[in-house]
Amino acid sequence: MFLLFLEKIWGRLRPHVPTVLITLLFVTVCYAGYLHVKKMDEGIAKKLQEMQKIHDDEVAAIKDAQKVEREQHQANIKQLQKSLEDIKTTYDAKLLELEEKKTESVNGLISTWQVDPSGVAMAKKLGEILKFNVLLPEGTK
Amino acid sequence: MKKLFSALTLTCFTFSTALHAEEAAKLPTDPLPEATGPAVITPLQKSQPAPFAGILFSPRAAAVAGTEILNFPQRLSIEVEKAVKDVEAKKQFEYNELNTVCVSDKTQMQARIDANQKRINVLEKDLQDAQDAVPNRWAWFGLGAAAGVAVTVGTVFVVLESTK
Repeated sequence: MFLLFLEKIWGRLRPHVPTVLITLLFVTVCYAGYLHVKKMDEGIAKKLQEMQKIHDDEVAAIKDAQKVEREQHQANIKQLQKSLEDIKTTYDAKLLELEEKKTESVNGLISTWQVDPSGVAMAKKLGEILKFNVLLPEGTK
Repeated sequence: MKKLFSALTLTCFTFSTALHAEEAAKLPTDPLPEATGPAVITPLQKSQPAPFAGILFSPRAAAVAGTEILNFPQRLSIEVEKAVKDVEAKKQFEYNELNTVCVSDKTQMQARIDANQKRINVLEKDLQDAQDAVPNRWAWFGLGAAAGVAVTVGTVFVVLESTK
């Protein structure tokens, strides 16, 4: 009874067997192709990610170097400004010291004149400073 | 008339030249002996006759002039020292700037070299993987041929079975 039933079913299915088998073969090939392409896509995505990371690291390193360079430029400028200011301060101090010394020297010469209004002492002093001959009036030493 | 005019003109030219020559001969050879002689300084009281022609300084003017001349080398030394230090500072700045640019360029170049080396490593690894994954062409040829035969036989069998 059961065998008869199976034979009847097989009789009905028999004409469709080639279509089913070819369809299954086609689906299997398509699925294998899909899996292969998916695997390739994943591999390419992984490679792209890896390359992108390398590129990002490179850009970050270059940006860091440029940032350090800018900061160093600023530091160099500040150092130059400080050096020039220090030089000017030293220069001004030395000039001031020289001016004070000159004032003292002028006052010293003037006091020589005040002590000796004949001018002989001052003339001798000036002659010594300027390395000039001193022509003294007759009767003076 | 012409002879008279010629004689008069000749006389004028002759005397004129002689007069100029006489004036030139009268010019002194050394108009200011004090200016070319030795440098001399002398004290002088008010209303006292000067022993020679010259420039009279007041005591303060003389003191200032003498002091300026006396301190000129020191002033010059200070100015030169400042100029030298200015130039040194600017040269140091230029050196620092060049050094900064050099170090930065070196760092950037090193970053590029490192990145390129990583790319080379990745690509070499891919190449090695691809070379390792090269299929055995004879095995695949045999497999393909066997599969083709099997599919053909199966299809023929199925078609024959289904058309009985």
